[in-house]
Amino acid sequence: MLDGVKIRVMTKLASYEEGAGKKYMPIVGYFRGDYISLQLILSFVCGTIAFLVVVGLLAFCNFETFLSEVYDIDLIEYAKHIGKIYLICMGLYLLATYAWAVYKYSKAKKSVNSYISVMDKLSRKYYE
Amino acid sequence: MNDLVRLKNSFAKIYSKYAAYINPALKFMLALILLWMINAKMGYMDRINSGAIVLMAALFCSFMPMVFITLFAGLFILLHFYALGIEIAIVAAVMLLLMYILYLRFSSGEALVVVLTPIFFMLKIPYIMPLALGLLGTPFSVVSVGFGVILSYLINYAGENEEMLAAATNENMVTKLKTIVESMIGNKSMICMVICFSVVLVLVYIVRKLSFPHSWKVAALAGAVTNIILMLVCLVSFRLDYSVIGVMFGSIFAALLCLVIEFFAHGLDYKKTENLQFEDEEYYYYVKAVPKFGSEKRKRPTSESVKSSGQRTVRTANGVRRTT
Repeated sequence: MLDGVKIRVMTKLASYEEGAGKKYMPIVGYFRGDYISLQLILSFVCGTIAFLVVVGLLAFCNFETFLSEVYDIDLIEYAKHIGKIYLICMGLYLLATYAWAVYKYSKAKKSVNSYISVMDKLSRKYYE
Repeated sequence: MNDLVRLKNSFAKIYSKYAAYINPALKFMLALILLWMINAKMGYMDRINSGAIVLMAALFCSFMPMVFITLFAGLFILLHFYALGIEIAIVAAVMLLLMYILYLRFSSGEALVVVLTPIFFMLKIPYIMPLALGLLGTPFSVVSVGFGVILSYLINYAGENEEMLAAATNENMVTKLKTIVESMIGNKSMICMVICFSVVLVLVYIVRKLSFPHSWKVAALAGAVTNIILMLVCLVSFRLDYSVIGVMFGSIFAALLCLVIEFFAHGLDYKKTENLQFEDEEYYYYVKAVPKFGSEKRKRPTSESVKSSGQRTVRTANGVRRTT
């Protein structure tokens, strides 16, 4: 016989799986530390590419100036200066990524936990 | 007000009933308007300027996820820039790439904001973006709005310097690139706009989160006033060439549009606010419950009406309602 409560709960669960669950379940599949580390690594790669692209564009624009002054500037100091800028930008970006990943993971965990509790209730219904 | 609520509810009903058809139709319309406006404003490449191409792209977008609209809009912008001059296309491509790998990786849903901002600039109502995103988004939306403003100025720059960019290369590519990058970095008007929009967006977000009646309306109004003040300060300090009347009317119009957004996205009936107090072993609770418009519970049949109709509704153990 059809059970109205079960049908309602199952519909809610299926709708969650199709909607927010699709976004949150893969996140909760990781341990917290693993998820944050993965995001930090991805951000490191993306940030480095972005920095190289910007430096490349600026270098391309100022190539003539650079060539004309190449003998007058201390290249090691220049590289150190660029390195410092890179480290500062990267530090800020990784910090923002860490904050975002922690927030995202806790949000996903909370959302999936409520899904699991509804799932538990449903499974208990089968033993009643 | 009741008529408006009824209208809103009937919209919601129609939408939930025909969502499978309405969603693709809306996506189609959005893609069509977006691509058509990009072609109208830029239109440097003849091959993608035809209505058939726009129609086909919009049709394709209507059956694909939302992100495809953004992809197509970005592609159209890049192709138009490419037709004008490879240098400006490189700058735009670098900007879009940076935006994607640095920010949209985290929040791909906001990609549309980046494309919509130039469209609102073209419609001369850009001030709607910080106000609407302050109401509907998060403070992180400043990044997408910021990129949207930069993209708008790049499109504007291309329009103003069309001859220089399209001219046969008397100057070499490096010089042209340098000119574009320097004029973008040194564009005070653009920097002021990014800063104003960021401040307004964060302010609107903070105010609408506060717990007082009509916080959304107050947030929109505060955002509009702050926008006017900041823009006037920038205008006087940096001698920018904004139209004062345009800023004032644009901000007021944006605030009015936010009232419409508020009605559809928030719509609380503050007259029926309930202030409750209760306690348990650990805490004392002060709860303020504000009902949404049109959320009155359905009237249950009273004993009188049950008697008169001779029927009553029974909820059985498994939760199914039965009429006896």
